[in-house]
Amino acid sequence: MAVPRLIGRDDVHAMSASGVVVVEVLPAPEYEEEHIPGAINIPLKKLDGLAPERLAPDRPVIVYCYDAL
Amino acid sequence: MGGKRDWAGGGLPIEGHKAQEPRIGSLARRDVPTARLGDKVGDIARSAEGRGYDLAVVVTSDGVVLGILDPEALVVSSSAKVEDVMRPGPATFRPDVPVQELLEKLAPKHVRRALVATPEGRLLGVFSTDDVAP
Repeated sequence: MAVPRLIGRDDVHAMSASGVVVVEVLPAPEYEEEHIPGAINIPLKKLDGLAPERLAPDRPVIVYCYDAL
Repeated sequence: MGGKRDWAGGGLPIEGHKAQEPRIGSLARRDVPTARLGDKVGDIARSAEGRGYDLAVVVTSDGVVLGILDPEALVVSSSAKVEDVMRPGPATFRPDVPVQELLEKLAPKHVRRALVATPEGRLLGVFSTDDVAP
């Protein structure tokens, strides 16, 4: 089983520049206020329905929210 | 990563309506003099003065803020060690703090400069109210 690896914002920055899809799962108004450049918005409540049509199955995806738990 | 707050707090770019709001990170002076704990105050004072500053920020080898040498500390004793005269644990602010918000925080205390650092405490620069258009 693969062991999860903790990544930081610099990792995300580098990965987003190399083709990884970055997804913000907050509601649309919050996404419109501010988001990571290049990130697409799929609100959490719509993730199950929209992910299959908006995300390519063969591309890695990074999902983020507002802050850490 | 700790969400988009962590992203912005680290000084990385942001898009969206609020991105147009001036943030202190964009105004922070990146060339603020730095010092290490074992440095001599006199050496730092001369270096700071030569660069037009009357303060220096004490940092680790990784750039993490440990303290600050205020103008008063820089004239204490040229042979003193930085660690003996610095003011430890200065307040720092994240680069994504709106300029207006920080101005309102600093004004009642008559403070005109603030350190800008990442969530990990790494120095990014110093914000000065002198750099804000009236």
